[in-house]
Amino acid sequence: MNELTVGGRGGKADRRLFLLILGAAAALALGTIVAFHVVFRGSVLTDTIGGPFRLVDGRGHPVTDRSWPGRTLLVYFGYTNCPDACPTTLAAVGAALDRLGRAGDRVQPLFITVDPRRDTAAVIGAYARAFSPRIVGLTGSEDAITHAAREYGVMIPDAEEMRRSGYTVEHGHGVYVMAPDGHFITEITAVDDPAAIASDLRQALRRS
Amino acid sequence: MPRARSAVAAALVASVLGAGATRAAAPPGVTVTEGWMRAITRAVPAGGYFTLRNAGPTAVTLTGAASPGCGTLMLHRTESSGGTDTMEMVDQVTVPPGGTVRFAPGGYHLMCMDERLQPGATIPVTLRFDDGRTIVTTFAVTGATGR
Repeated sequence: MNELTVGGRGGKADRRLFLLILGAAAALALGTIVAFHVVFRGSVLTDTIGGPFRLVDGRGHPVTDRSWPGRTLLVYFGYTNCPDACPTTLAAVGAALDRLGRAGDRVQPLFITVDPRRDTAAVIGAYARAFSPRIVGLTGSEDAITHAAREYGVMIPDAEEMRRSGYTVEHGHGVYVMAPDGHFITEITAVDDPAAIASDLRQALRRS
Repeated sequence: MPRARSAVAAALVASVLGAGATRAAAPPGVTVTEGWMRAITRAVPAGGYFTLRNAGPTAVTLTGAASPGCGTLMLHRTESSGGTDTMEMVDQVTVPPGGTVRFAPGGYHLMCMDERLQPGATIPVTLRFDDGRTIVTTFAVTGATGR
């Protein structure tokens, strides 16, 4: 008598076929997820963190991920109508860079808006500079912003959701450290602690 | 007569305490300290923070705030979960007797819109409670760096 029959007949051959189909279905699903950056709760799956972007700085000049050659980039996403989380992180980043002294000159902090409709070049530029003259605020077309956020695995709300919710906007809060050659070094998680940020940056600079 | 005089004194104290938006007295035993606002640019909202201690005999429920430095001033809370932050409007915050609530970066905060704040100066802020009582306190205003 056969054990472990599937469907009550046929035994081993049926079971193998069943597992093959299951395996194929799983591979297809996984492939779909990787290919289309399915948005999960709180995170976007991306196979690598970072990648090319084309955005606009506070003076309206086009920039890309290669606009700061030789610098370690600090990439953070947020928006200006955020009165607590974004300012707290940006102030901490500014303070951390001041702590680094001359080493801080090797770091380029970027603040990329997730709300390009309200955060125009002038608005984002002035906002970022208010925290530190080192921080460059970036904006761009909705497509360019969405693309950049996906490259970093950062969840951002879609434009419709923004319009509907007014000021309640959910967005990924990581600060990403990128080496001068474009590869991902680390994500800073203690984003409100200047000492912790400075310490992580010193480590990162040693590896660049 | 001592009773009348102390009644007058109590009324004077109450009116001084309530000398903000309304004439309501402060809830007994409640103190507000370390109030400050982070002003960034005129075009964007400012964030406000403070510590409220309830040394009184009953719970108090904070329901709103107002200030001449803000067109609107609302209670908010940053919620962090997983890799994201979101901001929720808060209708009320109840502080039990003996309790403290901190409006601090990363958590509860005030959202000041249409801000008319001067970094380096101070601004009066009125906190309102559900029973109609208020506390008027003075907040320091900083620039974006919080210093």
